[in-house]
Amino acid sequence: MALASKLNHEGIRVYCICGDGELQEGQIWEAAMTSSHYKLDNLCLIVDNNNLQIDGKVDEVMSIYPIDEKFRSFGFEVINIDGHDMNQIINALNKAKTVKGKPTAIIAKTIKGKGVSFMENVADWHGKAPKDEEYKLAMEELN
Amino acid sequence: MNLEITKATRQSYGEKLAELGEKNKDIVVLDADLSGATKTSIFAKKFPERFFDMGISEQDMMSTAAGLATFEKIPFASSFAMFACGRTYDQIRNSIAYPNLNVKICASHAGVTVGEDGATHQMIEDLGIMRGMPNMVVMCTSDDLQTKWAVEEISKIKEPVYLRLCRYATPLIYDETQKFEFGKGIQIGEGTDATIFATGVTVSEAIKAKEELEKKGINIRVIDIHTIKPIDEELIIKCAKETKKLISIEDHNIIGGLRNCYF
Repeated sequence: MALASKLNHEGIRVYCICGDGELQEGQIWEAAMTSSHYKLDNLCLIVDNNNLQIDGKVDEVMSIYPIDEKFRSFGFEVINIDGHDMNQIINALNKAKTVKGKPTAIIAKTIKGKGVSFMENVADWHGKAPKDEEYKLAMEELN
Repeated sequence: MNLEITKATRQSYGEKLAELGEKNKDIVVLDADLSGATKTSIFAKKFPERFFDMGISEQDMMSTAAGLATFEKIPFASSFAMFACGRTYDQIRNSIAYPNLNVKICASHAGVTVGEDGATHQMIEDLGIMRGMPNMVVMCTSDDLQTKWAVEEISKIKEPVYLRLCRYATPLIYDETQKFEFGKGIQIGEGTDATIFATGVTVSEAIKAKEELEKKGINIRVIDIHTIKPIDEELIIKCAKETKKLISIEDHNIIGGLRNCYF
């Protein structure tokens, strides 16, 4: 999409969110190579780095660290932020818009299930929906 | 039929693609480091701004082609059949076939006829894989004229297409008087002793067999199935009624191949 937008001179920016666990997929790095090779500065990747995947902690299942150095070496502008801090998020997105000649990767450090006591940092919540009762409890805590 | 003059269907593909690129500015071409062999290099030379070499990254090539299609481009993505659909099953299924995106996967070097490249490159499962993909049109062409017709035809249909092409030069079967119709097989001969169904490189071999058999008093017909999906059911049923035997010649595993389309 970012390539097509460049081709059409449309000035459209493309935002792509990916998890940290999925950085273990080879295709991510194929796409990373392509993005910097074709100088896709209209592409902004946001990595949700909560260090949890289905089988457990990312660094224990199959470490993908250091994430920032990997993307830097793949030709990205890299911005590390606290993914729960709205000011840092806005600043990073604004900064990404000013980067020329290369794509940007925002590595957002996050906590899975933040704000819900029984969900925080629990890998089990990676891929399941809460039951009605759990949903009610979670919403009460968030409100 | 004079089957002396030969040309590889990948060559016909490359030539036609470069010609279409002139008329249709939405056509973009992607390759994975094999443009010299798949013949997309002809397009690349003429339209470098619309040609993307993705390097040896077939998975990303298919996903990028899908992305380009969402912006109304007409991407033609080429590699050898083994890599174009063997290495990229997931990307084609989820990013091209299910969302029904207008991507043309044109794969050369299909089948055992790729020869000395060996088993790792002899793709004999591709028709089975691609026929199973939802929305995917599957074609396999037998000569120069038919390939050029098919390339133009698929550039007009707004659906994902898999076009199977061959490495080696094969005979020119058809002349300008031949009419090609999408989804319709071509009947060669009226024999009733048997029907041979063939596609791609096996069509000229089937014609040679037909001519040999005629000398022995056995009269068969050959059906050139260039559109494998959707298959020409009407013609298959007609042949089943009119001839004593149905035979398929495959440059593919029988499982998932041409025979599986009717039996």
